[in-house]
Amino acid sequence: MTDSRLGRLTPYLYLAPMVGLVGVFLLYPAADTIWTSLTNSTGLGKASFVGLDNYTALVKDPAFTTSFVNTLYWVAGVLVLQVGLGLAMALILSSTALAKVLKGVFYLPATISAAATGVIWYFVFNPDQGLLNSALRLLGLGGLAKSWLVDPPTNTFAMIAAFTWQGLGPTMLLFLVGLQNIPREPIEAALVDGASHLRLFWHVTLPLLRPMTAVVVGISLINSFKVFDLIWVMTQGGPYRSSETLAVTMYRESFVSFHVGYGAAVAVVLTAIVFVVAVFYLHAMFRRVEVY
Amino acid sequence: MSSELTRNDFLKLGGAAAAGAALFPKAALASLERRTRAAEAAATTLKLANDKVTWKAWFNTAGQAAAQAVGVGWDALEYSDTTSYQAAIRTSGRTSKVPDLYSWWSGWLMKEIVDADFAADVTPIWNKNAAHYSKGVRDAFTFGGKVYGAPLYVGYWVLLYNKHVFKDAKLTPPTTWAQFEKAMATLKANGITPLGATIDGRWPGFIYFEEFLLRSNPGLYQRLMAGKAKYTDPGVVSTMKLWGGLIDKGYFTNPASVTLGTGASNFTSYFKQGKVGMVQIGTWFEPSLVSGGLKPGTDFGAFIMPNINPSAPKVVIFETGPLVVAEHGANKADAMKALDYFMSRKGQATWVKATGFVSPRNDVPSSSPVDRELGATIQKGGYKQLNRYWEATPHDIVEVAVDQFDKFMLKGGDPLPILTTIQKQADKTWAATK
Repeated sequence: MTDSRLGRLTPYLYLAPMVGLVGVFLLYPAADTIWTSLTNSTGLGKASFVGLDNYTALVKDPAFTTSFVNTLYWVAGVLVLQVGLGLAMALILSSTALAKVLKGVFYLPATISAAATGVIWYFVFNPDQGLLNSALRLLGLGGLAKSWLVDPPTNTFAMIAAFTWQGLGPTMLLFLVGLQNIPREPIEAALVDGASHLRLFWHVTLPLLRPMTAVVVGISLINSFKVFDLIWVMTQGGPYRSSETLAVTMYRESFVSFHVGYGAAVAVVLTAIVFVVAVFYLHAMFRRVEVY
Repeated sequence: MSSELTRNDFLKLGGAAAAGAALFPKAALASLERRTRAAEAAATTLKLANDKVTWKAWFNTAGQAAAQAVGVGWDALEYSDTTSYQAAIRTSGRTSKVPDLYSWWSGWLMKEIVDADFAADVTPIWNKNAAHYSKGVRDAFTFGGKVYGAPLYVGYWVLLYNKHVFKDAKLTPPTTWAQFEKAMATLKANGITPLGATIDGRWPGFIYFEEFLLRSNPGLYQRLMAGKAKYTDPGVVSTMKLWGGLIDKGYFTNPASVTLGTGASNFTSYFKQGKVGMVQIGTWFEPSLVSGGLKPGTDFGAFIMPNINPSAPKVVIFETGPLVVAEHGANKADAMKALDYFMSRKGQATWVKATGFVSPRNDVPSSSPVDRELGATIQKGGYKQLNRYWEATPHDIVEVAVDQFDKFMLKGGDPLPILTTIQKQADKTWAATK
């Protein structure tokens, strides 16, 4: 082999390990999942090709519709609560002396696993002896006490609250970092021009915070689509499949009912949705970031 | 890999121990203990996979006894989540990575692993012990004339009741439906919830449906399980209405708040405090009550729910789960040996002593007076034993049904939409099965 041929090959050799790993651990399983979604696989014995049957069944399945709607609740809930509250708390903390202590306190829930969070909140929401209903009764608000994890869509909202409790810390920290990196000059200029706090936030701080917002919203979007462990621990998607999300439906169909082909179809749909959302989101955000 | 204690070893061990015991009793005992441990350590240790986390100590006690007795023992390999457990066995069943022994479910779930060639044929072990096990238990694990597992447990589905609560309310175990209704009404009037019910873990949804249908029309239950009757048949609808009526009367615990497992709201604590009078459950639940501090026979007893229709035959739900030898396991021969020991009188005696369970083996008595009494009632009364809902009908139907029954327990109302949803799945499943 001549030196020049080796030279041409060198970049590919550097790439080979990563291409190999991505191929084996990402592309092959993805292709296999797509293939499985076109079969009636049960995880046992041989599966036969059924074309798009699993996908047409999905459209007609009321459990899939509920799951899809719940996923939308999760995406909206996490965006509003986690991102909105995270930003609000970062703004408040950035102007208090207790910031250092409070940062640690708010971050603490993020250090425990989602499963542990699920167990804690399962007991908080217990209708008879749970902390929430007990507190409501103590405050004379017993009328508001309910079976939080039973009635849809309250059960989904309750779990979003638990998820927010855990995810708020990291979101807040990211916004705090973003706020610290904002240059002082435009803010001082706006203050000299007599801008009110609200106008200052809306027209100066928020636009300057956009790169960090892009990151936070992106992470929150992905997390809200893939949330599984917390739901599985708290309700297993129930009762009567009322609190399933697409990720839970995928798991349940594949590993509880062993409709592996059907479960794979749910996985493909979920991946396609996340892919489309991610492409549009990143495209929109980076275009705007470049403008500023 | 297997290393049994040879005859020579045994004689040496016994001789040394005897001689030592005469001269230096303490030293001899220590030496015997060391040698026994060495024998255990030298024995083959298999993996016994299961999803029964609270049984870990029992499995290991029985495994150590097996190691000492036949040189092949086992350690429990625990999966805390049934779903992950099933997935682990299903994905490894065809490979040598599969655990040597594993617990499973009888009925349709077992048929799946037998069809997939995951379970070893253990018919010779059954033939050896034929005189000591009932045909019913053997049949539960028999497919195409071959037997594919040993009974890990057997349980009858009965009403466990708090004896103190019954005594305070001047009640005795009812023998007719009218007496049972009166007992429920009396308990309710005394501020006690008559029946424990939960949807914790989804599956318990079928419990009262199964029992009330059985008490109304056992033949219909059997036809329904076999796909020869429909969930929308009038007999099934009226059973649901009966159940709904009892829910409306407040005879059941809030199914969303009571759990079967641990935690603040676990059923045992409610039962122990006398807040709940009875619960329809498998006798395998008794050890949970015992570990909660209740004494069988003194604090709690058991009776079979009386028939609604007095002319209906005497029936009781029976449940059993197999211990399976992995067909493709790396230590199949040793696993067969371990199973052989497990089914033997000695093996069963050790297992029953550790667990407090009822042994399916007729020469191993149960340690619980409640179970002994129940066993006698079933035998003398000529009760026909029917397979539990979970195992008796295809699992695709069960999965849909338990969710629908959970919904009914929470919301009540018209049962027809619930039954129609289940029937839709039943039509689909039976069409694919037949």
